[in-house]
Amino acid sequence: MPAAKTIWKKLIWTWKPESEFEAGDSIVKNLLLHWFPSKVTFESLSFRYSLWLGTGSAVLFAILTLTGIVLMFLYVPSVERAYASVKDIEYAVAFGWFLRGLHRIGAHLMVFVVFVHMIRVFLTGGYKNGVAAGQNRPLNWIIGVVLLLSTLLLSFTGYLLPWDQLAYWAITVGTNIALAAPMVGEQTRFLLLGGNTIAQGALIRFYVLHCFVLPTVVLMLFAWHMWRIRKDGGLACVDQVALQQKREKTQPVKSKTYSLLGIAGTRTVHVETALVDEDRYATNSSPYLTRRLLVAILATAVLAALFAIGIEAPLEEPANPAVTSNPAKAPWYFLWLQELVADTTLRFGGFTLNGALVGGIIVPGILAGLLLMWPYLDRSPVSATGVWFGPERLRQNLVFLFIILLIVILTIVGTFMRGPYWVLYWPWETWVQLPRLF
Amino acid sequence: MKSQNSDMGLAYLMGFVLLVVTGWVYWDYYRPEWKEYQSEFRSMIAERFGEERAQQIPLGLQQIWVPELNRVDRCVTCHLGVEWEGMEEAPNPFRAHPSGILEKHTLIQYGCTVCHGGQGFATDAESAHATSSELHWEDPLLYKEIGQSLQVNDPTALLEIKCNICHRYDAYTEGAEYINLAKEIVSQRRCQLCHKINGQGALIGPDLTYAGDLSPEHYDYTNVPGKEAVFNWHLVHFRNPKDVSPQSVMPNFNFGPRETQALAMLVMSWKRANMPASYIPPPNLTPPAPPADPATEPAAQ
Repeated sequence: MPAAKTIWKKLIWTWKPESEFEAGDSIVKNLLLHWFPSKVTFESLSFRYSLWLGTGSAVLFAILTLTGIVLMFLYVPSVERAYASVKDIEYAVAFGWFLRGLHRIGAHLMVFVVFVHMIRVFLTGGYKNGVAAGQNRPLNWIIGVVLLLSTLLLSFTGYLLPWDQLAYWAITVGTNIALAAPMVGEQTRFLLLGGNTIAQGALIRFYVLHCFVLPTVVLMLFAWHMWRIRKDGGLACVDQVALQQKREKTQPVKSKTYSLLGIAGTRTVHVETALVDEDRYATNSSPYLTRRLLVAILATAVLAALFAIGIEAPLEEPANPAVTSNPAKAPWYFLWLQELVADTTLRFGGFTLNGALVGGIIVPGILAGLLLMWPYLDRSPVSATGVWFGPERLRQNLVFLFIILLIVILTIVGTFMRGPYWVLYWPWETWVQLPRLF
Repeated sequence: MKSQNSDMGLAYLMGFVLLVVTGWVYWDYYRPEWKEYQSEFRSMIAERFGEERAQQIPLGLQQIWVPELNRVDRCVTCHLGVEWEGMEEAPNPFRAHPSGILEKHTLIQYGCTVCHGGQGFATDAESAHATSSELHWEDPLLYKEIGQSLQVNDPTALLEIKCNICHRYDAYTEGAEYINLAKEIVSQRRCQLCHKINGQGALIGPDLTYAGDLSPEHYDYTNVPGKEAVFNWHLVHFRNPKDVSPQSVMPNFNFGPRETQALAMLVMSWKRANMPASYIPPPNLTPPAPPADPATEPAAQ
């Protein structure tokens, strides 16, 4: 077979397999699909279990990469040119406004989707090991938390690049919180900004982090995340299927025994036929998984495109260190922290409670630490793995939801209800108009 | 499996929406606002000067790039008639620029926004003129809309503010009648007895040398009726200083609407000129040959 034809065969697959073999072959032999299992359980396929949020965030990452690469040809990361080049993208480049809008809204959506993905995994106990051997879901949860933090950093570093007032002051607020960290705060901020103020040094650092370092980190962690899912035997809901089978008392059948050269006396690996592949639990990945994947990809793309058209990407006045924008707000996903900082800055007579330390370092530090350690602290039984609101995990789910609710409320207050001078406005009140030159 | 058909249905639906979105984005791309102005201008030229001349009109986005001033002015995308002879009376945006001033301030060297204000980058009228307070552009087109919203005596004269950023040391600047009037008042009323202006004068009142650079937050608007804007603050203040700041020791000079506008414009023009030195003219210290008579002076058009 000519080489070109072979390569082509590795990129395409059949949508209408004639046999089990062809169905499996189209997944296993395909360059794009080989990381999927050839069979997939109905529960894993369903929208109601996973909500397909992980796929959504991966699709958003792809959209962001594609639009980002085009934007890299147009954007100039210099203090003198950055703002003007964004204006050019907005007004003079063909489809530039759409490209920028899609990139911006894609980033916001990705932060949101990854965050909701984490909530989903927590509420379903998806970080828990099930019954299959060799599982290490807690590790994959930790990778996921690092991915969430990387996503936040990616978005945060991108926030500075337009070099307008919104960008400049959001990054000022964000990086000033780092100052409150004991011992290392000042050094951390200096390292991040390449100086003590947000200037060219900060812009080029944020640019390189945004366009190269963080995407690479996310891509590698993403690969690891996916690989771990396969190693863990698929989504956690698969373990529910296995548990169900155990309850039905069908013992796993030993099918083959491998041993090293047939003489190793130490450990042999028993590969048991995966009974979850039974027809009543599972189906062929081609075409059922690939089809649903198509739906998820298209749905994410449609959502992002519609948002990009409907919501205009803001671009304020050029960054001006001499004029603080009012109100100066961090990006929305950090506004619950800024709100917390503002609310915990309290004065009792001569004593001042440092809000930046409480709201910017201690609270998020404890929350991040708890997130990372939680799989090891959760002592609930295996039966709570991979099921929404497992009754054995009721209390921790409620506490988790309560914390999420607080974060959401603080975010909403910070985003929509804080007007000029950080005054609290109700949604029906109009914000005070700030004076202008003319 | 139940879902197999609904999945394909969903995929087709999403695919269709994506197709519509793509179509809409293309539609939007091929029908920008400026294309209508360009075709209107072409038919106007064809009607007035014949089809042959209409063929010479450039198509697509037009811009004047002035690297020295770090400006890109796309105004000429719609304002195509700026340098056309015979278009002096044409309706805007096609009217030709008054030619006299363009001889000393060539389009290639100066662009548009350095004198007129507005957002040179923009390619739609609303963003380019930047007169709406929703837009984040502190340098609006100094023309009718801004003047009318501030209820000044002569809205079209406002752009003289821009002249005086470079011509601040002139005793008399040709064409900048309001600025000239204000400068006359400054010397007649001896403002420098209390204020430092151009680096000279006393400091009983605030130093006004770079008063135009003060940001809007520097002013107290509690006693200012109408728009919360620096220009409005100055208008009200020149009408009677004590109306705005009751503790002020500045006397009330009983200026009329013409004088208040002129003085407010002058103060707003006292900015640092971020221009290459070659753009700053030597000051014209000689007063005009016939002394300007406010009664007969025509309003700048």
